[in-house]
Amino acid sequence: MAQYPERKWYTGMLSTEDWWAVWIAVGFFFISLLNIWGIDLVGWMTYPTKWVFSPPEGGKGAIGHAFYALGKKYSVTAKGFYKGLGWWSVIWSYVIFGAALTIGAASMKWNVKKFIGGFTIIYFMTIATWFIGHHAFIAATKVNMHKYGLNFALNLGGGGSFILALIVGLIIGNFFKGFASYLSEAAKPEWYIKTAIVTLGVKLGYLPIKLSAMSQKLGKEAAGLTFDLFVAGAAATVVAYLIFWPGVYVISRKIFKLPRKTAAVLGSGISICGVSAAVATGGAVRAKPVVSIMVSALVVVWAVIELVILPGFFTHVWPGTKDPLVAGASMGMAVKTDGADAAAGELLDEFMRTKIEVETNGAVKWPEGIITASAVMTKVWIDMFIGIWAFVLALIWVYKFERREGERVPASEVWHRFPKFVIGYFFCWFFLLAIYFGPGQSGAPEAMPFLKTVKAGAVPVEKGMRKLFFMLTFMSLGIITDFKKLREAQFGKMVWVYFVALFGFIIPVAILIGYLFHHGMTLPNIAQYVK
Amino acid sequence: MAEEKKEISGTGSLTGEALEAEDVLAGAEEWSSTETWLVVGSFIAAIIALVIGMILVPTSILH
Amino acid sequence: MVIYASIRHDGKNWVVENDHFRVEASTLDEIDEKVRDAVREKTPEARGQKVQVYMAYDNYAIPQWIRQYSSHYFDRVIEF
Repeated sequence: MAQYPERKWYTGMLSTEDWWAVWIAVGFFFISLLNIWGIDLVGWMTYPTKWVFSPPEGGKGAIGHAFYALGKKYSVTAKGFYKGLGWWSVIWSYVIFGAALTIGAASMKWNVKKFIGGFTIIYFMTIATWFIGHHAFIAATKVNMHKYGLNFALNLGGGGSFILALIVGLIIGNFFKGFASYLSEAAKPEWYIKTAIVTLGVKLGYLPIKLSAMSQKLGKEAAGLTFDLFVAGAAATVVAYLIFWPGVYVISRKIFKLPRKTAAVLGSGISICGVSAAVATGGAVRAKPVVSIMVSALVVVWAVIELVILPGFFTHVWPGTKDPLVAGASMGMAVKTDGADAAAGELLDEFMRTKIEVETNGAVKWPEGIITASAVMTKVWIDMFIGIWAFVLALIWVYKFERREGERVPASEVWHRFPKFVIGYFFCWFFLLAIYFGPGQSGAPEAMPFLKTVKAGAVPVEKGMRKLFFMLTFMSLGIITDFKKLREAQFGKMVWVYFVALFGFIIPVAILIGYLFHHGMTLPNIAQYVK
Repeated sequence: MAEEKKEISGTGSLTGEALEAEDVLAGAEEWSSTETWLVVGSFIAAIIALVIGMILVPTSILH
Repeated sequence: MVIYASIRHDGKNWVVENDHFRVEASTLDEIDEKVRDAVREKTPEARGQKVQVYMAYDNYAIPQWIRQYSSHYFDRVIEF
């Protein structure tokens, strides 16, 4: 007999992707901290490096070293062991991450057998595209291509792998639908990206520690910069959302003559956070779930189109390397769904860093991840804000438009809609900041040996795990994106509302507001400290 | 009961294709004053947030 | 007293159910009416008391691919 218990504040802690993103990422983060006590249990996390078929004499790029365990470079206590792993780190990562994700899948009552099968295929396809994308012809820049014996390279950095993963995923999702449906149990871009975003919290907290090793001043600058992004992102998103939503609502109602509820759900879906907002708003206005589902299907497809267009546009047309954080913040406000946005931010990060390096002939290098962080920061704020906005809409709908006798809106709705992975993101970030400012003595030289142990743990998580989960996101985003959905007749009107609102209203406003709050922010130059 | 729910969870019982969407797209209500209030209120809140934000946020173009 | 139930939409109707009753209707107005009747009929101890029915949306009725984005649709509360 089924039980119908009250929904408590902790309901869903073991049965939702949101919470499982937190458990998995924070779990590995804590395990990584054991490095402080000399126990390195995360050095096996795999990472690719650029390769060529025939490396030049004395040059780089042997295929045998194309994947390595990050502990080889960063471990303090087990460097030798992790050095020996080489390509085996791919298998170690498969088994350990696969096991962690399967525990999550089982707790969420997914079909475990199907999940393991799907994940195995997705994982190894991801590794294959990661490997191919790191061929020096694709990933090298004109600054470092000579090390691999090349006279020409595509200058894509790590972005090439992401694009490749997305393309492979899209081919499967659009041309091999039976296969895509088999993989669907494990093609969960949103779960992977939420996990990756929590590890991005590790990255943000680790950034000052990393730069301290170069100079204490740079470390402090990095801590200040991330905090600035936090504040500017909050202000920008609140302003943007309060302009986006009514704008799209009016366009839907007045120009496209849609009913109130549909317009409200579209308003949220197109405005910023896509599917989660469409579901939240659909619930808030008591729409039939089909409204949210239709809007969601559109959101997912349009988000991928944005992901393909915007990073290149921002890098090569405007604002280019002059205002990388305006581009990042605008991306966060313009690209729907956490997965597509974080992915677009990561792509932008790769493109921008590669571009500045090429433009200045290696004289300027930016630390990786800050531009991604700027794109995710605005998104994280909006994910939180939607819960409050949905509550406001629920009050208006329940008490104004559709007054029903005795109906109340429980305030607990705000918490139930709160994106829980955000807690993990902030937790990891602030935990590492506390280590940096506390025992790390703000990067003072005498604290360096201690900070090095923190680094040994943090790097595999913020670099290896994060990038792998980004790759999984790109691949599975492609797999679940079926462009045919846009052609279905019943979506006709909504497809046009979406197109008009997105390109005529949302993206320009996002860029303007991103500019107002982030113009002139600069990234630290680390060229003199890195090879 | 639990079994039945599990089945639903596997595929998702609702898809856009399976449902007639007519009533979702048609039958727009008259524009009401509450909507004006909601839209205008939201824009006004945006302007207030923009002004306060520009003053308080150290990286805004006012600084 | 508080009575807990789940609510979902099956594509055609709203469905509210718990261990004691199950009702369906195409609009929320109708469903509320039916819930009131069902509670009065099946829960004699609620008679004469102020009753709150807490309907939690059954997430398993949301397609699985969407659940990863948002795990909460709505909870409705009616009092009578």
